[in-house]
Amino acid sequence: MSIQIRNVTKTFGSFRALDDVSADIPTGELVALLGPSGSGKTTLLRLIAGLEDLDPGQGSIRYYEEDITGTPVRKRRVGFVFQHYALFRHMSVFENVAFGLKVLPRDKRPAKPQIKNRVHELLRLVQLDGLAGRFPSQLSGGQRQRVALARALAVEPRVLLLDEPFGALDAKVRAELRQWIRHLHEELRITSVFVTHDQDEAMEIADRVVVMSQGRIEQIGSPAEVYHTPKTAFVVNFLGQVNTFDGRANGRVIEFAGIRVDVADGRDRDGDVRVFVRPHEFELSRTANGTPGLTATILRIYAAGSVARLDLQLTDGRLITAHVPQDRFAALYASNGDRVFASPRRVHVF
Amino acid sequence: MAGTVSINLASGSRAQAPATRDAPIVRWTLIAIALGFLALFLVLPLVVIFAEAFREGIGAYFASFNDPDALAAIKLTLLTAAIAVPVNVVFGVCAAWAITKFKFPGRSLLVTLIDLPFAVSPVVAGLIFVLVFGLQGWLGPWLAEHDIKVIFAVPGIVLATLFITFPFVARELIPLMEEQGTEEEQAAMTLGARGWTIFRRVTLPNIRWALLYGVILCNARAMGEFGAVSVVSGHIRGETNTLPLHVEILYNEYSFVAAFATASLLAVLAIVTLVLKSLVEYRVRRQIARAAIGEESS
Amino acid sequence: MATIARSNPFKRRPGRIPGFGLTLGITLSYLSLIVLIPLLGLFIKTAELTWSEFWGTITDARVLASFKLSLGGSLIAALVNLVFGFIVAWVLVRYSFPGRKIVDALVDLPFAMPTAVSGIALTALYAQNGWLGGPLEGVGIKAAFSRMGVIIALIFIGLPFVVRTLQPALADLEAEIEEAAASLGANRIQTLRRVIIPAVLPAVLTGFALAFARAVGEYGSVVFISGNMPMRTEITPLLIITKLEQFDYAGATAIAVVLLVFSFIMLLSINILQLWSTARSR
Repeated sequence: MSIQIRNVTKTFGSFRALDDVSADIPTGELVALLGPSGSGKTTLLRLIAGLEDLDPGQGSIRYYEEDITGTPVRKRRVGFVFQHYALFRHMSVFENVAFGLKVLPRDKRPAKPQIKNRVHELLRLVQLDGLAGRFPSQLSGGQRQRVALARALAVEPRVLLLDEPFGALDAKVRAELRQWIRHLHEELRITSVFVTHDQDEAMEIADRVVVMSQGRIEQIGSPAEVYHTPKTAFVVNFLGQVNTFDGRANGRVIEFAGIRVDVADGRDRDGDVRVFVRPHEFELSRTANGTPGLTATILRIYAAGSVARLDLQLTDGRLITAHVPQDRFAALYASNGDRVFASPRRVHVF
Repeated sequence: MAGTVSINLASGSRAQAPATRDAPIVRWTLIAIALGFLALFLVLPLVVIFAEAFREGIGAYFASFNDPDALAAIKLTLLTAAIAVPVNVVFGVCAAWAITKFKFPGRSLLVTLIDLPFAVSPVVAGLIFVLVFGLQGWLGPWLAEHDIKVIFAVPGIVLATLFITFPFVARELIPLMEEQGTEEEQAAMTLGARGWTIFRRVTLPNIRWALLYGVILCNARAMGEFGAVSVVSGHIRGETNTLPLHVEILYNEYSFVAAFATASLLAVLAIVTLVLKSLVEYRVRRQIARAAIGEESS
Repeated sequence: MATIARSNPFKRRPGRIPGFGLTLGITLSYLSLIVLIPLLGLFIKTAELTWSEFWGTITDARVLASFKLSLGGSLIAALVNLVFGFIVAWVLVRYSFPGRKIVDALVDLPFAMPTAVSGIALTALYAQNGWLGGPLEGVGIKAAFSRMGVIIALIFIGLPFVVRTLQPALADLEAEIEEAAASLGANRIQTLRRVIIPAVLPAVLTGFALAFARAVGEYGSVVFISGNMPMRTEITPLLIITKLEQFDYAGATAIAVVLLVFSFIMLLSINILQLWSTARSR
């Protein structure tokens, strides 16, 4: 394990930003801290970096088994990339990247030619070798972020921490940079943690996702795990669109919206529950086919795209959304106002 | 001169994360150095004025004001400020309006020229009026012919004070009105308002704190100006002595208690100015911040 | 034609904010009357001098000594203010301590206090029998009525310029750049030297230039404490007044022109510094 976080609590005044958080970051992985604003993800990242102090006696953080709880940030050898780049405006790109090497203690500081080689090597890595003499104000947002990354990598960090690294960029640049970061990670294999509030971003490039809400960790797992087997209602809700119902559980049978379904997760429940069905987990048919299905009327069809998206109205007036692959949708021969049966293939119950 | 007395926009100290926090020993050492330096150079001089003024007791202190020349100096000082402040308010508002609501060639040169009196030594400021209005000056012979006295008389004192306090109001208004832009005035125009109404109903409420701020600074300088006034006044007791000049005369005559008693009046004026300034500064800061936010969200 | 009309800002058009002609007219007339024409008068008066007269006046030993004192003393005072002003600004922006707001307001005292009052107060304080002058005399330092006195007064007068220019610059400094420096391994001294000071350098230089320029022209706070001994503690502005009192208008004018040209150069440098600083903060 690269980073072990144990029972960490952090308060700002009376606000509890993190509440008894524990997590492990495996060596060489790219991990996303995912959550809405105020979930504590940035605070956790800053605590890992040493940019915030742990509340005294409230938990510990270890790097490679070494307790670094009291170690100041400058001695932790972390690479930190800020959302707004935080480049030194009065330094050229070259000087920015060289900064971490130039402030090393004299006995560890490389000689000038070595610093020069190392900086150019890093600038080649981030594809900015021609711009070494430019100043930050002369660069685009995407270029600035890559300079910030090269600067962080220059000190050969034990862990790389990125705070909303794509947050300040426009959509197109963000998508490119995302892919590029993933490739870079595969090349370098530095243990990396990045903060994001965008679930697509987390799902697309992370090996592992830590879903956070209100200062607590909701779930840790691979993108597929957290998406397909969410452990809490928050995780289902946060990771993509979902239809929500109130239901009643009786053993392994759940009753909601007038139908009864078996939940095959091997757990017995009793009493009031929340039932979640993702839009693509509905099977639509024109006639009742024996499986329990919700009777609904088609309100609107959005046929453009890789799946057809349908707004449906249930008999009690509630609205739900279903996604159907285009070929299946074509086979339905359905149009606005038609009646359909929507059978959940899978439900998430909490 | 840019930055001279403009509004102090620095806000309070910020929350400190470990990487931007200094060790307690460093923190307290620096605080001690800063406070020691300020005590030595600012607090002690202030305290010494009152200590010297009351050296011979409260009776002697108040006796210092029981002097027709002192009263005449107070009157002249008030008169000078009563002319210089309103005139410079009118000018300051006009200049800020022209500079911030319109774009025209030479605009930034005009801003620099308005700052010019800050750059000029007060003594030079006094001298230029002597060269224009003095006996040997351009207008000297003509003025003498018509028996008009400007230099070594009240008009000269007022002119020199106008010059010295010239930029104060304008330079407080220009940054604020620049930030506020012209949208509100344009909106008022589309609603049918005319020039003076737009200014009174739309612009003035938006700039009133900055205007007050400029007035406070302008007034303090008008009442306290020494160098420029000294050159043009002629130091005629009871006639062309302002309070600061009266302080000088008393001091040079070794009437120290009276000199410091008179100085204490001006020191109180300075303290009142600082208090008002701090109170108004907060309002102006809020207004500029609001204007900046308004711009961003629009 | 239409495009020409549009590009002419002086043309009155419907739909524009009113009052341009009136306000600009008042501004320019008043500016000319009170500032520009009298200043012009100074140069015209100088033009009445021949070059050798002018040169002779300003290279007179007593005048040169005053230049040396005014420039040298102002330079030393501005340097002292640079160091202590930085510390004061840093403390006011970064730390919280009881009374911070009062201390912050007090920094403007030299602006608000009439210079004559500051002058006699500093003299009383640093004279032989003064609270500070006594002890200093004890260790062999003559503070008032010496060059040291001139410098003390100029430090007093220049302090707010440095502090008030630096405060906003330090407050605007993003915490992230210090955090970035720390994450790259820099200690506080390295961060200060390599990141913070270069980032606020335009403000540092501007504050220095403002304090320096103000000090060179300063009169009221200096004349009491300096002792005004020709060749030793006589500042240039005082020399102008002395010449005037001796009805040597030409001499006063010549010296004033030198001071004024110096002011213009400082004003220009300060404007260039500010352009530099806005260009960098983009």
